[in-house]
Amino acid sequence: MNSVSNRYRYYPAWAFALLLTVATIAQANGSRLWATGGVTNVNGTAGGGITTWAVLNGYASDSESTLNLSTSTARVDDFNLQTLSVGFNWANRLAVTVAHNRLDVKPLAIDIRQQTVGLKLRLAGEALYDRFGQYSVGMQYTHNADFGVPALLGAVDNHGVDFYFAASKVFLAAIANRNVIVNATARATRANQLGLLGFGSANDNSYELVGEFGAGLFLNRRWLIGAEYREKPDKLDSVTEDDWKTLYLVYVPSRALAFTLAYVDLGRVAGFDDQTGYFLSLQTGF
Amino acid sequence: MGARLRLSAAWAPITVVVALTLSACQSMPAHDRSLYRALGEREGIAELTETLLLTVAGDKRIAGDFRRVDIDRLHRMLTDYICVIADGPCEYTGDSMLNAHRGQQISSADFNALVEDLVLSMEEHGLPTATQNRLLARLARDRRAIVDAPAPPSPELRQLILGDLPLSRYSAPRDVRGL
Ligand code: HEM
Repeated sequence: MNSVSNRYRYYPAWAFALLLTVATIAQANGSRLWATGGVTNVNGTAGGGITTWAVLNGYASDSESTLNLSTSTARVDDFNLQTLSVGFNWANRLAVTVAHNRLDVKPLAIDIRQQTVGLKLRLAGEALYDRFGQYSVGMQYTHNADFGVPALLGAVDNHGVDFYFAASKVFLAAIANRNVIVNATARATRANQLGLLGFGSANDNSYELVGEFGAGLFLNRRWLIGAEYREKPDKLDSVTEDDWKTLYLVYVPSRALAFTLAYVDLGRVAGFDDQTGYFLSLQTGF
Repeated sequence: MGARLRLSAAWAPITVVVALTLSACQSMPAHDRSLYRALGEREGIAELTETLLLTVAGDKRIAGDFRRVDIDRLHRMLTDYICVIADGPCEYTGDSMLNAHRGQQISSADFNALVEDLVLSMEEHGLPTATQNRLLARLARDRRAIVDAPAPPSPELRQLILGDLPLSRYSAPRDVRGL
């Protein structure tokens, strides 16, 4: 737990600027259709803003590899969540991602940091071209570096592993002849608020199966609007954890760049009610 | 460790129903000529495929695959093929998608590159997103036949099975067809 120094607090601003610069120089790689790689979510892997999709980050196809950098900020009433992440996609088969989260708890003027390493393996299918879509499994190891507050709230572990199974399908010319993407993910987890409030609790330390669902409509090849819903486990006795919901808009000017703007509703978080606000992210790939 | 199931009873079925409805829409046959007309009929399609072939010729990723191809024939065949799958009044006389791409070792990346060139060509011709998507949806079904299409049987095997029956021109050796 650190008190927030101002110098450190605004790294999303310079991360945005840096990534924008990189994106203008970068030669985007990969050949999958624009915007079908999703964007980088708060866990650092490909998805919407909060849900995980079966697609792998970037646009690599079977004979290509891509690298992604992403930064995002979620601002709700009493919290800011900053995320920096990097992802490598090998041949659209395996994605390795590393993410750093920092949660600023504004009323307490503290922050909680954590790191997540993720692996996602495409098992079968191709979201766009296979009739029954694409299926992936993944795991995420998260280590919470500021375990003081989570321990006070009753979490038992400062680290944990999530496992998930995800399915994604893009339907071409589906609604008003627009393409539509549908995602569903089942996740086994012990994480409290992504791990930011630690893992498990004394009374409820077992894995729980939660769902993540989302759908998006491609207005054209550059614009995607959609909604997502992420169930949360709610293991701590001291504070309630609500499911998360977003409405998002993604703009993909090129394969090198994606902007996401979302309205987020995180419900009750760590004892603070009704946390709504916005999520903004920038992703670059090459 | 007992897993407590909480996958919400409501969301999973909703997702499945949405998905199934969408796939039902997708496989609904279109009996009208609206796509054919939206593409500008055979003339519009011929212009589109010309732009496509020019775009492909400038696309380093796949231009090499077309280097020694009879481009006039390919232009005609591609135009008729798209005309037919758009429910237009054309006749396609070329080979099946499987036979036309046998042994070419076309990867997913190659296929994606061609689709990208097609989208860019359609944009160049000012075709609206809806028309683009409708054509892509129909072409997408051919991907299975095209990507990694197996090599044609050897001449000996073909002789053994079919005798002297004339097959598609793909039964001719590659050098005879100018590849
Ligand atoms: C939806 C995608 C595609 C469609 C609809 C399509 C359609 C066609 C058609 C109609 C022909 C003419 C067949 C004939 O002359 O009888 C053809 C030939 C050919 N295609 Fe494709 N094609 C597709 C994708 C590709 C891709 C991705 C490549 C390689 C990158 C490719 C490479 C070729 C070549 C080299 C020929 C000429 C073969 C020859 O003349 O021997 N095609 N294709």
